[in-house]
Amino acid sequence: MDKFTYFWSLIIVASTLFMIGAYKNVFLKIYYIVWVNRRVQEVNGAIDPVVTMPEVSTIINEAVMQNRIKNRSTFLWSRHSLIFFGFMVLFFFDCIYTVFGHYMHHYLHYEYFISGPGRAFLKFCMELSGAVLLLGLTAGLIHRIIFAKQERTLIDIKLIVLLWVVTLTGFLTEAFRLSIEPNDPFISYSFIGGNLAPVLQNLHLSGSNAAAAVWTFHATVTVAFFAYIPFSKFVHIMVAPIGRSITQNGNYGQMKRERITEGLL
Amino acid sequence: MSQYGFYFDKEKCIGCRACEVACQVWNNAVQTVKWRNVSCLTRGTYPEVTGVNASLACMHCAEAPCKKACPRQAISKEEDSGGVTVDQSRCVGCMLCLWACPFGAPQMGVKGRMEKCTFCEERPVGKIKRACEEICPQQAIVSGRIEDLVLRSKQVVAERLSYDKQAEVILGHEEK
Repeated sequence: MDKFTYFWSLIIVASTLFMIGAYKNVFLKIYYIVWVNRRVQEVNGAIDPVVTMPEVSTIINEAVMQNRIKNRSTFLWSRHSLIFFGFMVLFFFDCIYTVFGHYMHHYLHYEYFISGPGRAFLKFCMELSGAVLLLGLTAGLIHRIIFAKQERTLIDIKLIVLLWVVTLTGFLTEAFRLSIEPNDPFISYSFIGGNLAPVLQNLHLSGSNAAAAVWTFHATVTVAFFAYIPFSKFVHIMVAPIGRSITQNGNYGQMKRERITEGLL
Repeated sequence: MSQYGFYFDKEKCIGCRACEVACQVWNNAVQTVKWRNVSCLTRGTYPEVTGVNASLACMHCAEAPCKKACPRQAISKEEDSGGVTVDQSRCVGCMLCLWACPFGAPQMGVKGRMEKCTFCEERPVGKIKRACEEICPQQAIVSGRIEDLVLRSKQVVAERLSYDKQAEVILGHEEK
């Protein structure tokens, strides 16, 4: 089987699992919450459910700046920010590379992101964001395993290990590719993979079979991670911005209690 | 499974916030935000002033909306008391439970996970009063089996109606 056929077969399965998980753990939950709030209004007309629209400042504070974690600990905020920004930027540029690189090259013969300067830009950004992500994940693993005994739960560690393996194998995949394509004109922009490639050659680990094996492993764990998101703690990527914005960072509870008290007057 | 809950009598509450303090003192080891909140509201101008105090915490609903809303299944009901508790190791702090709760009970703790009344889980149900209930100088908060609380509320309502007083209670459970 061609490796891209294998990859896209996995993507179809993973997307299906992702959609099932997102439907079960995100869509149905929000649908239920909206229904139960309306029901409260119908049962007791005196107590209106508090309807609030997400404020932009709340979204920026919670989802982008992550000030709640910053207030707790600068180290935790740095660690989480490395993971958050590394993951988001890597995912964004990966999507750009897939759509504007592979697809537009295939269907429209658009070369800017495949053999033009766009590829150099994407390679550099993806290497940099991957390095940031790996740094954050490594700090997270060390912190959880060694220092934070109260946070040492299997649930947390196995997730971080999974994403750590995805990121590390990404660098290895690039390094193996460059070890068998040493004349790649953009090798200098892959500043981690490009430096790992000679090491692999010196260790006699390079070769098309090894590169294909590492690529297949990387593709499999990446797709597995994608499918696992809505079933794991990573579901907070989808639900936390929604929940925290709608509840106005917790003020919603106070507003609800005041409405109930007003209803008793 | 027995379903326990709280009965709150707004006519008795004087807004002293002793229940808030008792809750924080008893659960000091795990509590980082207020699990019980007393809201004191007044309306109108002298001489026509009306006021009400409401001490609100998790009502440990029989059909808890927060439990159904949690995307991580971090909220569960205790077998012995029917108390609704949050598993901190599973919670991701998304606040969907707060959005779903009719009483606005779950609160975001300083560790980024949701916290709420545990129905004083270290205190054996039916044997020792809950901390807020024990401290209340007016006995405005009463805990117990939900059937007993419904009966109690009916009795209180009947007594007050006989004296032509307004009688309203918060139970947090629908009578079936």
